[in-house]
Amino acid sequence: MLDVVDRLGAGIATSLLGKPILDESLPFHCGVMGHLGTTAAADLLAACDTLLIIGSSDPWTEFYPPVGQARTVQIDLAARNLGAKYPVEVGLAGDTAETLRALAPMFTAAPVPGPAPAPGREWRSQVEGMVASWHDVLDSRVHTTAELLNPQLVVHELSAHLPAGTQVAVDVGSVTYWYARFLRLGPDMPAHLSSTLASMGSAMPYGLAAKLYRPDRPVVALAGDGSMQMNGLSELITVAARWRQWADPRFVVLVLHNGDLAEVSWEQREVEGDPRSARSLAVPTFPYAGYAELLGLRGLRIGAAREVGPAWRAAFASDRPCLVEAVVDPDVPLLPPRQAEDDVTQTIRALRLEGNVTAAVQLRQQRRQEAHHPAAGRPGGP
Amino acid sequence: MRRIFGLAGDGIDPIVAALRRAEPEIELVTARHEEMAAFMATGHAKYTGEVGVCLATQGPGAIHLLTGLYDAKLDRRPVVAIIGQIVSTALGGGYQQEVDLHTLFKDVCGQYLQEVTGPEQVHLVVDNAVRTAIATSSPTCVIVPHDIQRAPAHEHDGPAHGIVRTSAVVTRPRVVPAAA
Ligand SMILES: Cc1ncc(C[n+]2csc(CCOP(=O)(O)OP(=O)(O)O)c2C)c(N)n1
Ligand SMILES: [Mg+2]
Repeated sequence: MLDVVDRLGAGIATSLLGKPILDESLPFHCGVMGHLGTTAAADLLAACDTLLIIGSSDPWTEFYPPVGQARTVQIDLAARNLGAKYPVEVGLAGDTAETLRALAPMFTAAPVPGPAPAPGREWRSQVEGMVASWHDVLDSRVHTTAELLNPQLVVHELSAHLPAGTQVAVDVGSVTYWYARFLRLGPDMPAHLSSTLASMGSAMPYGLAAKLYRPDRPVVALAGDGSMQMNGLSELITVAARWRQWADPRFVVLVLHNGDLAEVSWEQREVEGDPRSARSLAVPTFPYAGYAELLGLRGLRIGAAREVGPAWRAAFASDRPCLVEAVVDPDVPLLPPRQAEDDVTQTIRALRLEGNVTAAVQLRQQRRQEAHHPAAGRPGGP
Repeated sequence: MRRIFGLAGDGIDPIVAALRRAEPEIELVTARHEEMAAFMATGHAKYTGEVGVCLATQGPGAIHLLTGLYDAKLDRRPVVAIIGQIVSTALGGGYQQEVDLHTLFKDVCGQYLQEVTGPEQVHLVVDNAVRTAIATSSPTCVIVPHDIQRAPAHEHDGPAHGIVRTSAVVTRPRVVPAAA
């Protein structure tokens, strides 16, 4: 895949399921595309003149290039997927590796790496600019401070603490966004989630399946408080019943304790323009870390930025499974990249009806962070 | 297959007992809720690339599997669900825990959904459930009525008229695009 990307001088964006496949630290890797993705991926798709879709059926159709802008080729093992999400000019039914191997020689030779910007490398340097812009936005997002702990920081900081070979399991909720945008997976770190069904309650059973498959590797499961109450708390009992049989007992569970079904709260505001239905979307409080301790596991409760690094260090140094309960801000917006101004205004209006000043302030802040790095080559850009 | 994810119930007592006899070659990993067992099977398929297997009892246990199986269907992963059913002599009689499992699983396990009607049929149904799950990367389902679970295993000789012998052979094709 990388050989073909290099020959084309292309940039990369992935679907949510595709995130673990290629190293996101590559300077031309724009990250995950779509509503929960990065500005770089949105910019890449909006500006590209050619699109090669490899094994992806990404559902966020509004993030694909405007029809007619990009000549599109799609590779998929299942012929029925070809052209099924986005109009393509050429469909290639085949195994990805086989197809790319057959295609590669048809593209020009790989450009020689070096500083001299050959004409064909102009686009690549544009892409690298998109990625650098996103990294700046990312940096300001994770370091934004408010009264309550920033969940983006919690997930971002985890990247630096993941032991080699960690298996990652992710739930559905705001944590899916933070995983997609801010978690940097190392090589050989499989990560899975309920992507197309997007069902809450997947992180704990996925984490258990991963652990039973490879008991010698650490597991980290990332979940919201709503998902933990739906079924994660019960499966923590399964962890407590089995961990003594594991060669590596580390099974780290992150619970984002925000007292809210936050993803739905933001959808209500953004998609419907309605104020959050406070009583319906509240998640009752619960002592997640205390409950872990009660089960004979380790429990850490954190609520401040300075506690995040030490908590991750302690969790992965623990001699038993460890639950990290991060009491975090429910008011951090899940702002999709490069959202139309009208949609942002609709969200702001909903927040005004709620009288939610802290969320509105943060939403404007996120927009400003994006505006500092306008998208090149698309409407509204420079 | 070394691991089956599930939760016991009197509708699958004979299968659970058979799994005990099969230890340690196969382990029944119990979840607190059948939905979690189905998610574990899907998770197993995702992390390992193998087939995930889950087991649930008739009626409510079977119903609980659905969400986890839909997860496998929508993300295209091979999972086999083995579920109990009330004794075949009482089917259609509005028996305790009787649920129309064919209707319930028809969509999610649309690629292969078969009820075993006699011990002679077990091998071929299990084999086809597994091979179909692999070939279509999707969940499949085997329904086993209680009396069939209790019947002595059938030793095959065959093939003969009406006796289908299968073998657990699975390989993957090389799929190369047609030259443009
Ligand atoms: C089984 C299921 N029920 C409902 C939903 C709708 N839904 C999507 S995200 C979400 C909120 C999740 O809340 P929580 O786990 O607390 O995470 P948060 O977004 O607050 O971080 C809900 C209810 C779903 N995706 N799956
Ligand atoms: Mg929550």
